[in-house]
Amino acid sequence: MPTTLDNLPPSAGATGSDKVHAADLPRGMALPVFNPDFKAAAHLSSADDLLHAAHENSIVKKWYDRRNLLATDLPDGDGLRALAGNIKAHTLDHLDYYLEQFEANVIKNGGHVHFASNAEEANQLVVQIAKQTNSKLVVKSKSMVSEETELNHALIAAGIETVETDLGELIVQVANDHPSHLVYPIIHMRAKQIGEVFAKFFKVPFTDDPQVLAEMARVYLRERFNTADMGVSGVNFGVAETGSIVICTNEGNGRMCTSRMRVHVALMGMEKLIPRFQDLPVFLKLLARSAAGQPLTQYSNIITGPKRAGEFDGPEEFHVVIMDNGRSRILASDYRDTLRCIRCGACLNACPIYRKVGGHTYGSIYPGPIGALITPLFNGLEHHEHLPQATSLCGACYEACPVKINIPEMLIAMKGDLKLVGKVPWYEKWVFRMWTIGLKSKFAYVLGQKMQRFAMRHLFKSKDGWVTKLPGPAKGWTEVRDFPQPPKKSFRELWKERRQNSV
Amino acid sequence: MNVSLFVTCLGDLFSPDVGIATVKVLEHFGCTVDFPDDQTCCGQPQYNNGYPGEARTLAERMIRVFKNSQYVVTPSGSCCAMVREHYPVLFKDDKQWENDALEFVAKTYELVEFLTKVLKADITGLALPKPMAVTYHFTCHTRGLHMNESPAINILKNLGNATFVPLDKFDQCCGFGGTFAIKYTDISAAIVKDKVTCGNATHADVMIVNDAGCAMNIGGACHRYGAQFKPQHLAQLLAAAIDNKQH
Amino acid sequence: MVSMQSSKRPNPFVNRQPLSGTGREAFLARVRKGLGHDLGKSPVAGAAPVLEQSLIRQVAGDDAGRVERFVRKMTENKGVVKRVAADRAAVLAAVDECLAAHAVKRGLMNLQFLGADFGVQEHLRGRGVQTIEWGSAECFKESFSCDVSITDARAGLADTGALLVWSDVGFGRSSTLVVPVHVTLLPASRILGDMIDGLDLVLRQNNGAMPSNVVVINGPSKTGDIEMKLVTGVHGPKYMYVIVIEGM
Repeated sequence: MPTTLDNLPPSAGATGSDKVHAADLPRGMALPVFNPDFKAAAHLSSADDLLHAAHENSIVKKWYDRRNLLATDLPDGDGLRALAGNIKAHTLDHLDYYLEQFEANVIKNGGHVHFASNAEEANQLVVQIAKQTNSKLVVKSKSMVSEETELNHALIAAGIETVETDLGELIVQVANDHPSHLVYPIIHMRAKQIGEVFAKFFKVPFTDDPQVLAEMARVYLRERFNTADMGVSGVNFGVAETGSIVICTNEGNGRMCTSRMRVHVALMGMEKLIPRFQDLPVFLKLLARSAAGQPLTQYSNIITGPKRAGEFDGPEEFHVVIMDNGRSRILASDYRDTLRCIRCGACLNACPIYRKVGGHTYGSIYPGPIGALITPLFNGLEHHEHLPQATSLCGACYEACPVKINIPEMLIAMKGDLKLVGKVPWYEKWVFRMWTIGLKSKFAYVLGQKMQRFAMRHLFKSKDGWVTKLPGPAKGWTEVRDFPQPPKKSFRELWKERRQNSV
Repeated sequence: MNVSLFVTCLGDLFSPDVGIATVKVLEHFGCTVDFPDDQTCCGQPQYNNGYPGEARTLAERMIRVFKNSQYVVTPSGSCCAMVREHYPVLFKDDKQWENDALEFVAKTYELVEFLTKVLKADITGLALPKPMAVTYHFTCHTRGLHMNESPAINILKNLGNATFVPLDKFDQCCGFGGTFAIKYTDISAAIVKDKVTCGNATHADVMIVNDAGCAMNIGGACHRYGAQFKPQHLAQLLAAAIDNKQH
Repeated sequence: MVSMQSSKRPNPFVNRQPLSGTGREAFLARVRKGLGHDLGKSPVAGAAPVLEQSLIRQVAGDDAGRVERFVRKMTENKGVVKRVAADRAAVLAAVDECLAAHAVKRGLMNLQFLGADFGVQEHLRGRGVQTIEWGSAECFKESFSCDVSITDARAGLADTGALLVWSDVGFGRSSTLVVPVHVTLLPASRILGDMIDGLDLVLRQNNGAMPSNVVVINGPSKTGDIEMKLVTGVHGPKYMYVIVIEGM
């Protein structure tokens, strides 16, 4: 865990904001924050046409691919999501039982299980395993937990060379940047930027041809796969019944990291468990469809323990590090359902806000609708007051979610929680209270209507029946669009007339 | 069929013509429409901003106002969703109110939903006064009402003199979101501009927007930045077709 | 979902305590506490939700069209499929076709149960290809510098057009991973309807135990990380060929 923010790399993402206000953030937060000022970042990114174009070309397309696939390709896409949600809910409600079952089965199959309460402990455990196994080079396939803990920094600080093997994550590592999507880490980068980064890193002439760039990475990484001592992976699903972990990749780097080295360490958030081996089709059939609009990733790898006696490849040692880092607190709360998340990223792809501001604006490694909930849950709501508020509550995330997390409902609840951490100005509460009182009486309501109508038709600046400048807290509206003037007569007045005319 | 109109607080003040059109349409398809004029607001802004206590107060009032209604129909998808999705949450396990609340929830409909599911309205023979290209914005709260296949588009395709043109990113939010539009102005602006751009690309004369909030947002952006289309409620198109038939 | 109006659960933002204790016992105690369970013991979970097959299964286990579907889906996945009769000449001709576009100097052999049935290894040696057998002394090291691998597979899965493999003493992880060109010989009788059937096979053929490494391979290695432009063969095989052997 970084104890200062001095050596945090600048966020080189499309937001253009590289100010990190170290003084504003307390030490030891569960999730590292690389961009604490949501509003400032959103101001820049919401005007970033290149970012929007990049999103149109990628995640927006994947959103519609997902929609089509779920409708045409599965017997009952909606029913399957409900089943997946129920399985996850059940698992979470009995997580203690399933953790013990998982642990017993990992050990039965020759693996080791470690329990880490926080980022520091997790990093220490991994560094310790590396040292005990004399591992000098570590290759990593994608692990969001390792980004929570900033594992790479810890390994490198301990003198252990560490290389990301997912192409997007490698580029992030080499560029000293941050991922901007759960599944597509460099969605914010153009091929030209990547070309510049690689030209510098590999000391070769510049190219922006994706084929050539990928080939550079492949050759570089193949050499590392050939000589690495330890592979570190994430876990998409942990199967309690068999003590297995499942890794889904398209590139095959996950398989490389877990097949060719002496040691394999898997980092798993505690909530990633599912009860049974045959639950896997439910989740595998939803994961890639939700994330990418494709039926499966190219490789679904189910790993149970180290290699067996007599096998010619596979790790000699297999370790699972199970992570808390605040998940137990979320489990205990009304926000338990957020732990169903399988990190597919569909809610990001669906979200009109994410589409316009991009992942970096959210400030942590978990962006988008799910990130808007879990970032405050991990770090404290007072540090992320805008995240649950910057939503239009459109519900696309709920439609997207393969495990039916009711994200909008929880965003509303979290807005209510803002009062508990002193992030609601006293006058806002007063305004809502008075407004409600006004709406309880027909007389007050109608009077309010008349006052509003008068002000908007005669007091505020307007043009052709549209108000062009609203005062006070509403001024944000007219900064960017006009507001219709109320017509001369309200519906209830017209209704009365209609009644009178027909009598 | 007796229908009580739930016109909504925004509709009452800002789009009374949509309310009148809704009444005309319901009457055309055989309903007797009344307007319990004690109605004010369903409590959606209170609820969405994290004031469930205040929302509950207004919800109780709504339930009382419509106690004797057989059906409650509103032209606003979001207000209908407030009742159908969130009233059950507000009144869950409340021995005194839960029954009345669930009864109210069961009889509340959004207009297009009511036309297609309950009235099974047949619009054969209805035609707009003159030919028009029409596109459709999928207002977000119809998601919650399970209207994914959009019966509104079916109606448009069968309406005489209306040519339906699909809208790119039809299901992307317009960026209204209530207080979101004034608190997170730049993000809201980027989203609504996208909607206007998509609308312009259809070259339609009208974009169907079945929600007052969305219509104000999109309309306001159209007026500020210029647009080839006008947002209108489907009720207004149908009412125009009904008037056209009677002449 | 728990109604947030009436819930008794602790609010995660108020009175936030740092996580107490390290190690296994403290970890489990935190989880048990969060679930309202006895701190010292995890109660047995009730039955998990019933797996309604009609929601999950895309292809019936005995679907008559499953071979056709497998071929179609594997082709959509950018695997090249050849269908041949179960005779030596046909199979070898198919192997030659698969390798025609590639410069092959060293081949990795891992035909676990087809073995020498079609004389593939002999045939390749006859063509001047150096062959390394999985299970030979240096196979792990040598596999990394092979141009092609010829393997079989435990099953084909018709729902998405995938191969099912797993490792044991006779079959390597590397065999289907580290080479740029991967050729699979797949008897048609091994083509199953759905992933559900595949996972069932894993447990049945291992007496309820788990092999150390199971993979469902749904096409050649790929990435779209750079501006969504598709690039294949990033780490796993760039070219996948499946020779479906009919009547076997």
